[in-house]
Amino acid sequence: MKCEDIQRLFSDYVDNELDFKENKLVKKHLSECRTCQEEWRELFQVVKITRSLPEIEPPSDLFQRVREGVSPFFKTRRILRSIARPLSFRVPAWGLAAVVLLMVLYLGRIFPFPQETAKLGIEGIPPSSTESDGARISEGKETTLAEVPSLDVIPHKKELPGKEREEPIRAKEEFEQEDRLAPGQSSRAPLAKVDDRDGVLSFRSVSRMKQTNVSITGPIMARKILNMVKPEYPNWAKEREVEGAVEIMCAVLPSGEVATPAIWLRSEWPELDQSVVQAIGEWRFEPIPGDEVQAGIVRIAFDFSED
Amino acid sequence: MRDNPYAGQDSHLIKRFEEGDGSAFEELFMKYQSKVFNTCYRMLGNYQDASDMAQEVFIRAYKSLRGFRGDSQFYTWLYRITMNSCLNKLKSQKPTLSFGDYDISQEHGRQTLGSSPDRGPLKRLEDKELQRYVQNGINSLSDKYRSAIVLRDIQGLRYQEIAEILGCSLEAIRSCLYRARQKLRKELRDIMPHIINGVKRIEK
Repeated sequence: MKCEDIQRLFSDYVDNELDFKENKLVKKHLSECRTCQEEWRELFQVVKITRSLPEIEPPSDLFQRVREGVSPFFKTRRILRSIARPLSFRVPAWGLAAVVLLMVLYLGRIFPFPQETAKLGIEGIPPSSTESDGARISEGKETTLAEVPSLDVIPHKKELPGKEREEPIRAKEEFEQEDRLAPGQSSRAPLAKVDDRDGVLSFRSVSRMKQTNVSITGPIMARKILNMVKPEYPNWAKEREVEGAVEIMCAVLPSGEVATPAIWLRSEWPELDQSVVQAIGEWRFEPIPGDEVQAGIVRIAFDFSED
Repeated sequence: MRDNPYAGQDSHLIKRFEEGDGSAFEELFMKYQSKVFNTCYRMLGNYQDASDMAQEVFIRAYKSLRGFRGDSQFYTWLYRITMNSCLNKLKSQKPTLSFGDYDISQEHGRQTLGSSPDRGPLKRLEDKELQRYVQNGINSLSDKYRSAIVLRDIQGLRYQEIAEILGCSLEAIRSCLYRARQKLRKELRDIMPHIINGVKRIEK
């Protein structure tokens, strides 16, 4: 295949829309051809930069205007205006608290649990989390998924035929293979139970990326996590060394289940964001007595830097 | 596997709307206003037009929601209304935006929910000047190419969804995106070194 033909595939390659064969072809060619590498890098930057454009906040009176436009249709005056978002985002100091409130109000609309169960855990927010936006995350509970690579304990993992013997040593490789064999299915299965002795949260399995950092802020940071599902980090992302952080806002029910995980900070890669949302939706925190719904932000950072 | 996380609740909300619950529409609005507005914004290139257009889109959606059959997802349907409205507007105001129409002072919105610029590996494009170039680059694309770029790279939709929204084949989307990105790259060539530096600077 000529360089020209390969370059025609770049656009689809960015989006991971090539079939297996073409994908391999592009990869191979890229490893050999300098001209195409340059070409690829430039195109990739263009896409990246387009995706980096900020999200613009809609005018705050937009709903008002829509309502006026449909007023004959619209009889009922609703209180929703009072939940309007501008309030919460213009005042950074109130940011988290206001959003927690908003979330719970919103939650209340979807799951009509009795009013008194929707008690907020705002008192539980450590001071650092409300002081400033910037400090919020960095002072949260930090942990690294790849921190304790104890290969021997990999619960829930299907063994590939004929490899039982080599399990411990080949664990990492199989991990990747598993992705390749069943893309999008297996890798989001609960990979590991979490051990939080010494206050260190970690996956007891091998992470196949350099690092996946998890940090948690808000009232939920005090709670143990019984089941931490690792977000799928797809092969295409790995090949392109896609880095980024995704933050998920979520409410944790007294039972420990995570309700309505929502993207709080997105990366440039929608597929990656989705995989994080899905994984966190499957997390399980330790149950607590009472009926307090706690909120918090989970930040997952995929980082490729060498140790 | 990559199901839209929004889809499930939408049908529920639409059902409530059909049963006469006015608040259901508000919920749909709250959920999608940012997507609709930002699509308009990137398609039309300025804040005022985008505001008017987003208003129009939701009014149109409100009026025809009862006719929504549910044979497609609500959000693709809403995107279709958005894109059709934007494309009509662009057609009617030919010649399209000239270079420099894009006013950077309007980039006053939040960057992302609750983010602050110094936070971690946050890679939103922060240099206003660069943003202006990139938006101008997008403005310079033909309507078709612009649509593809906005839906894929800004709204993050899948090829299949884009094909559905724009009413063309997957193949057409592929080649459209390929050409659009080539074109955009040419437009941005002069500032490419800055872009690469910019990305690096923001990453580090």
